[in-house]
Amino acid sequence: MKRIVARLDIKGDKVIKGIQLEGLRVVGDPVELAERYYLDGVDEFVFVDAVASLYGRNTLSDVIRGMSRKVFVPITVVGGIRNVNDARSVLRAGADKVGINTAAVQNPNLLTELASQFGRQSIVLSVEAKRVGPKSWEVYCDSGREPSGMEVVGWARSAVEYGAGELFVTSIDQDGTQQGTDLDLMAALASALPVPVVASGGVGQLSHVVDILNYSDVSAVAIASALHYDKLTIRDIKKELCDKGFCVRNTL
Amino acid sequence: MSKPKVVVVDYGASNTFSVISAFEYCGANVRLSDSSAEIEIADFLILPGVGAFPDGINNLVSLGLDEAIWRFSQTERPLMGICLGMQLLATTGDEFGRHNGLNLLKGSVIKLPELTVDGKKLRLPNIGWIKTLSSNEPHENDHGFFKYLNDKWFYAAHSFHFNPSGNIDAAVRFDYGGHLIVGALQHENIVGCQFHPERSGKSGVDVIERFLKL
Repeated sequence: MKRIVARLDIKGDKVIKGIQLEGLRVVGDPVELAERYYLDGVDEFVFVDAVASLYGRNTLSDVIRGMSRKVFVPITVVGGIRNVNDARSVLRAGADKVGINTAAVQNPNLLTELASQFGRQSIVLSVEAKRVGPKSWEVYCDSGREPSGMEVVGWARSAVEYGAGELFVTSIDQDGTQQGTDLDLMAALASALPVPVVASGGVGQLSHVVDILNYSDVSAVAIASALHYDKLTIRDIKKELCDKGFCVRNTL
Repeated sequence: MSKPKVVVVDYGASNTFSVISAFEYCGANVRLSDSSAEIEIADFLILPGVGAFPDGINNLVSLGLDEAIWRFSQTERPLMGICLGMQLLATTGDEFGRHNGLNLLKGSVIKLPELTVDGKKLRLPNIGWIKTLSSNEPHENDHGFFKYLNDKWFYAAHSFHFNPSGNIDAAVRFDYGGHLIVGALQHENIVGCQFHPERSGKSGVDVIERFLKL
């Protein structure tokens, strides 16, 4: 089955949205948006803590706790998780999975430590990738600011060996554009890896969701601006996928 | 009518907040506890858990909670095991070597198959929503509980599953690449959910509400 995931980028206590991971615009209140998407049938949430270094853990933990009391689907928190203690405090606040990017690139052993403490199924590798060639993408750290010098497929394979149980991939080129997903990037990762891959970045129309699921074996599609700007609803997406023969959780 | 007293076993599992929130949402008075005395007086006991079998069982044993859980199970009050919590109730678990579980559910915890019945690769861990198969046979012991488990979507995240070897009163399975895997089961006063009822939307909340009426 294919999951439909709502992605909320959070700054402090607000949901924000950028384009190509830059230029942050406030779009709403996290708990309000989350409740709306939950009632509309979303399968899962990914919360990206967009400015993790500026705000303390407490604001985000409060947001997660607020959500956990009202929405009963899984939550992954990505951003600013540097060590086991950061992961533990986010999980204890109600998150089901933690997504790691920069800290894992700096020290892949962290993935092993986290997987052994919390279980592989709770540890997600968050990858932000930018196209550098026809079938080649570079991994970026620090919310799309720092090039790492690493090619995405090689890094993802290695991270899975270290302990990541799932991959959350953001196409920097397509993020916020609503011009369609990076089909080749997602296909390359889904075929190279034995773990589930969640595709993020670029969905603007129903056909974009159908395309990515036809073109690649990703397990889930994450959608942000198309939802936050009311261009698409979860209900519409699931109906379209159902009509096109995909197996989705029926919440109608 | 007073709220049902639910105790969630605290043995270091990381996902207790969502379990507590969901049971509170369903009207229970919930305590997170590692105290045998508190477990003894609970109306309902929940064993949560995400992570590896050996760590889970070692933590329970070192806190003396294995005995407290066993004593509770003998009182016939309802006990629910969730995900790793359900697996720890088994006779043995095969994660990182063979370990003994609490032996309240006869059977072993083994790795999920890596290939579908047609030989295609399956992704592991199994993360996502499973749909339980509808079972048309009512069961004399199920107290009407099982209709909340049949033919519903639930969220699961696991690499291992419980394979019953002995008599289980009732089990609901899901199709995993053509293999039939136990999604939930009931044996006497024990309910086991491989999925996470606290993260399964309305179907999960319905299961919790119904469990609290057992």
